[in-house]
Amino acid sequence: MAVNKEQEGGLHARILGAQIFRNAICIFLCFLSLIPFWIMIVNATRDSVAIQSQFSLIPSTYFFSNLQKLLYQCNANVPLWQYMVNSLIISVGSTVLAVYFSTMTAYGVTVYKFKGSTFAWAFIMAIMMIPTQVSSIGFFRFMYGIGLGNNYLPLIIPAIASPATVFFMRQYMQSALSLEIVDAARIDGSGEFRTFNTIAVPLMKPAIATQCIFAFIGSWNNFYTPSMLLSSQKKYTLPMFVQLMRGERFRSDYGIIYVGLVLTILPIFIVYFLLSKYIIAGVALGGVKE
Amino acid sequence: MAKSNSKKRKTVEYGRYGYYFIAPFFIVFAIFQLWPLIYTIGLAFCENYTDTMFNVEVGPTFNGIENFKTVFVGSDGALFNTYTFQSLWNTIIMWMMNFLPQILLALLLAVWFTDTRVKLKAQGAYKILTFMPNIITAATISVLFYSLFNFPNGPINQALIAMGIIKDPYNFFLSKWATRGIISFINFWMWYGNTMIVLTAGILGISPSLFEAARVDGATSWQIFKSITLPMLRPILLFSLVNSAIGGMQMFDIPKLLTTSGLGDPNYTTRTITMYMRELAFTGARQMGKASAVSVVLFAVTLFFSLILFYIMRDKDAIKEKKAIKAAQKARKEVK
Amino acid sequence: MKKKLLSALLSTAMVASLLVGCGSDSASTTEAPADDAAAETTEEAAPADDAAAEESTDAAASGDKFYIYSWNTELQERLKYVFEANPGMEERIEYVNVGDSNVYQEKIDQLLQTPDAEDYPDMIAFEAGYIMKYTNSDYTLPVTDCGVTDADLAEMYPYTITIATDQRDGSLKGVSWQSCPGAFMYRTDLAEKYLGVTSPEEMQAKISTWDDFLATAKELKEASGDATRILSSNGDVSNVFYSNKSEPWVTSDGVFHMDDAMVEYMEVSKALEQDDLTQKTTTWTEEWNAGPSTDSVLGYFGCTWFLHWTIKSNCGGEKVGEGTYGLWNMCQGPAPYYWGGTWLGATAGCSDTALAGQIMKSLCCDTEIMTKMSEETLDYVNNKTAMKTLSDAGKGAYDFLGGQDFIAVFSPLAEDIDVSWMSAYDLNINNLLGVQIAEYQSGNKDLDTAIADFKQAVKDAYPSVTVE
Repeated sequence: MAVNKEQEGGLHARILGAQIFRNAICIFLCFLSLIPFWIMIVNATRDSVAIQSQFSLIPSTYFFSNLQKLLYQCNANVPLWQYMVNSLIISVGSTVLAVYFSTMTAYGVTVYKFKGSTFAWAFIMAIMMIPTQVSSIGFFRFMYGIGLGNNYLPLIIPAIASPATVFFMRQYMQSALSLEIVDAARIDGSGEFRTFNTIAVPLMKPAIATQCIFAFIGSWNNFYTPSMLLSSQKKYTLPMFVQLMRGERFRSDYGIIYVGLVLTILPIFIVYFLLSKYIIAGVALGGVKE
Repeated sequence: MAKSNSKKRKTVEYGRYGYYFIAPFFIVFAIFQLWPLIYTIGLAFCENYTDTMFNVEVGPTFNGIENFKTVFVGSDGALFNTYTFQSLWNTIIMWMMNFLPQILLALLLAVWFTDTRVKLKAQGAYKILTFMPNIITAATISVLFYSLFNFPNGPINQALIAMGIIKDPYNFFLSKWATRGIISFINFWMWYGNTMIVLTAGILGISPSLFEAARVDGATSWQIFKSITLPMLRPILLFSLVNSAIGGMQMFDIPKLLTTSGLGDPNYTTRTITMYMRELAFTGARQMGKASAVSVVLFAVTLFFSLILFYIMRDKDAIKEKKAIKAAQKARKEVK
Repeated sequence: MKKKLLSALLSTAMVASLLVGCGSDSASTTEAPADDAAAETTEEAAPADDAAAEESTDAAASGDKFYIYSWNTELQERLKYVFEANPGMEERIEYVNVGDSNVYQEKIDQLLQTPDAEDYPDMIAFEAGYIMKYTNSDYTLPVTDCGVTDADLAEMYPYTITIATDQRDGSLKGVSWQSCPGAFMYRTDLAEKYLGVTSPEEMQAKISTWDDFLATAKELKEASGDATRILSSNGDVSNVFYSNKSEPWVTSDGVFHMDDAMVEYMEVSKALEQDDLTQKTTTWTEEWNAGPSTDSVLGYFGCTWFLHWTIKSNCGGEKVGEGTYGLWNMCQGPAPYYWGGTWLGATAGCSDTALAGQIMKSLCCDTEIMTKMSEETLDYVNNKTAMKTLSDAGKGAYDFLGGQDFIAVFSPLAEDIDVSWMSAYDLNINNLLGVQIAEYQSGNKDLDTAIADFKQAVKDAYPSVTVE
C-alpha cells in the first residue's frame, strides 16, 4: 500500500492530463449531439417562410405564435393532450411488459436447467434475427382478422415477446447474478417467483433501467405500426399527429411542425432523466456487496 | 462440496419453473408473431403478386424455388447479379462503415465513464448528451441532415465555401460515397450513445470487488481493462455486436428517408436490402412471394454474421468466473 | 432504501400494467364476439357493436359510423360544405386522416381485404397517381349503385370521368370535386426586368416550345447575371411531360412502352442541368418552397391548387405589397398538361350506399354548393356552370395574380385535358424513371444505359408486364 510521494505526484499529473483529454473529447461529442436539438428548438421559434429560406442558429420570436397555431389546429379535432395520453398508454404499457417479461424469460433460461432450455434459447436468438418487415403484412391482416384493428392491444401485448431485450437481460445476468444467491434464497424458504421479484429484479436494476429507456423510446417514436393499425383520430399517437401536420405538404407550416417535434421529444426527456439516475449512479448499484 | 451437491439436486427439482418463466414469452410469440412468420416463409415458395392493371392478386400458388432463382440469378444469367445482392452489398458496406467506429467509441467511453481513478466529474451529463441523438425519430434526423447538406445553399456547403475548402457548392447527394458516408455517419452518431449505455451497464454489473482487488494491488488501467473488464464484459459485448449486426442488416429508416426518391439515390447505391424488400412487398406489383424469399435470404445472412460473432466471442460460462479471479490474482502477482 | 424504492416502483408499475392489460382485455373480449355477430346479422346489430368497441361515450350515442379515408385534411375541409347542406350527416362520418400518402395506400390495401373490420372504409379518396389501381378493380362500387345518375355528371369536365371509369366494363367508380389543369406561373416583375415581357401572351410566346423554353432560360440566366433561374428544380417539368405521353406506360395488353415524350423529358432535364438553368433544388424541399418569396426563381409549373396552396402560401405575404403577392401571372407553357386531383369513391363493402351517394352528389355534382365552395376556397371545382358563373361575375380576377382572371386561364385548359396516357402504374414507374434521369442529367450514364436500366427496374417491379 505504501506509495511514495514522487510516484503519487506523477500519478496526479497523469490523471489530470487524462481528465483534460477525456473531457475535451466528451465535450466535442456532446456538442455534436446537441446540434440537431438546437436546430429544432431554434426552428420552433421561427416562422415558416424564414425556416425555408435561410438556415439559422439564432432563435427568433415566433415560438408562441407557432404553438398557438398548433394548438388551434389541434383543438379543432382532438386536443393535444389526448395524443400525449395515447402515446403514454402505449409506451408505458409496452415498456413495462417488455422489460419485466424479458427479465423473467431470461431468468428462466439462465437459472433453470430443463429439457429444451437450450432449444428455447436458440429459438429466441433466431427470432431476434428474423427481419419482420415482410411478415408485418401478415401481422396486420391477422390482427384485423381477429378483430383487433383500431385497438391498442396489438401495440402493447406483443412487447412481452421482445427477443433482443431477453438477450440483453440474459447476457447481463451471466455476469451480475450468481446462482449462489438464488440457492441461498431457496434455503431461506423463498418461493421461486418471490426470489425472482425480490432478489433478481433489484440486482438487475442498471439493466432494467437501460432497457426501459430503449423500449420506451422505441415505442414512443414508432410511427409505422400505429398508423397501420389505428383509424380513429381520437386514438392517434403523438408521432402520428406530427405526421398529420407534415402530411399537408402543399402548405406545410414548418414552424408548427418543429413545435410539434419539440413537444414530441419532451416526454422522452422526462423518462430519460428519471431513469438515467440508475444508469449513472455508479458501481454501488450493481453486483454483490462484499 | 455439500453446497454444490445440494445445488445440483435443487436444479433438477426446480427445473419445471423454467417453463413457467419462459411461458409468457412463447405464448405471446405464438399468438401474435408465429402465424405471420410461418405465412411469410411459406410465401417464399409461392408465386404471389398483384397484377396492377386490374388489381388482381395472383396466387399464392406453390412454385418451388422460383423466387429464390430470381433472387440469386440476374436476368443476364450471372449469379448474384441481382437487385437483391446489390442492395445486400450496399447494406454491408454502410453497416461496416458505422459499426466499427461505433463499437470502438462506445467501448472507450464506457471504460472512461466507469473509471474510478480518472473521474470525469461531468460524466453524468456526457452520458445523457451523447445518448440524445437516439431519442429523435429517424424521420426528423433525416430532414435535419438533408437540410444541413442541402444543395446549393445548405449550411455545410456555405461553411465549406467560406473556409475555402471548395469553390462551388457540392451536391453531396449525387455522389454515392458521400451519401453512403452521410448515412453511415448518421447511424454511427445515433447509436454509439446507445451502445455506450449498454456497455456501461455491463461494466457496472461486474462485481466491484474484482476491480478493488486489482486496484489495491496497483494494476494499471490497461491491465484492468484487458484482464477484468473485457473478459467480464464479454457477454454484454457479444450482445452489442450481435444486436448491432442485426440492426445494421435491417437498416432502413435513414437511407429511405434521406434520399429524395426513397429508392436509394444515387442510382440505387444506398438502397438497403430492407428497402428493396419493402419496395417489392408494398409498391409496384406487391410481390409478396419474392419479398418473402428476399427476407429469408436476409435472415440467412444475419444468422451467418451472428454465428461468426458468437464463434469469435465464444466462452464457457463456467470457466469465465475462474478466469477473472485468476487474472486478478495474476495482476496482483505482477505488481508484487 | 434505494432498492426498496425501485422495487416498490416496479411493483406498482406491474400492477398498473396488469390493470391496463385487464381493462383492454375485457374490452377486446366483448368486442370480438360482437364483431362476428355484426358481420353476420343485419345493420341493426352494428350500433351495439360500435357501442362496445368505442371507448368514449359520445361516440356510442351517434350509432353506426361511416368511415371515409384520406391522407390529409383537404377532403375534410371540403366535406364541411356537404355537412352544411345535409344536416345530421356530420355525426355519422368518421374521417380518417392517415397523414402520409405512402402509408395511406398500404393501409387501404390491407383494410380493403378485411371487410369485417369495424373500421373498414366506406368511402376512400384517390390521388391521380394511383386511382386506376382501385377503379379498375372489384374493391370499388360503380357510382350508379350509390344513386348517382348520368344527369348528375353533366357538369363535370370529361377527363375527370374518363380517369375514374373502370376500363373493364365502363362503369364510373369515383367522382371528383376539382379539376386540375396546369399552367406556367411566373413572376411578372422579373419577367419584365430581364426578358422585357409585359403580358402573359408575350410570356407564352417565349416558352411555347421546349426549345423556346430552354432559350429563354439561357437568356434569363445571362440577363440576371445568375441571380434568377427559370425554374427551381429540374423535376418541375416532369408533370408537363408525363401528360404528353402518346400512350400509357403499360397498355391494356400488358406491354411496357418507352414513350418519345419521356426521351424528350430526359433530354430537357439534361439541358437544364448541364447549362445550369435551374436552381437545382429538389421539388417539395424547403429550399424549393422558399423560391416564391425570393427573386431567385422566375416560375413554377403548377396547377389549380398549386397556385393557392404552394405559390401563394410561400410568397412571403398575405396581401398586395407583401412579399411577392400580386407579382404573379399565368400562361399555358410549352404544352397543355394536367396534374393531380382527388377523387372519392365508395368501396365494395360500403355500409350505406345511399349516404355515399348523397356525399358524392353534394360534393361533386351540386352546382350551388360547388359554386360556394369555389368562391370561398378558390378551388377550381369540377363544375362547368359553377366556374362560368363565377367568371362571369368577375370572381376570377385574382389580386395574387395582379388581377389576372385565373378562371379564364384554366377554363379552356380544363376542357381539353387528355388523359389517355394514364395508367395504374404511373406513380411507381415515374419514380423509377426519376432515378435514371438523375443519372443521365448528371452525365453518369449515357441515354441508352439509362433507358436500359430503367426498363430493367420496371421489369423487376412488375413480373406480369412485358418489357422488350
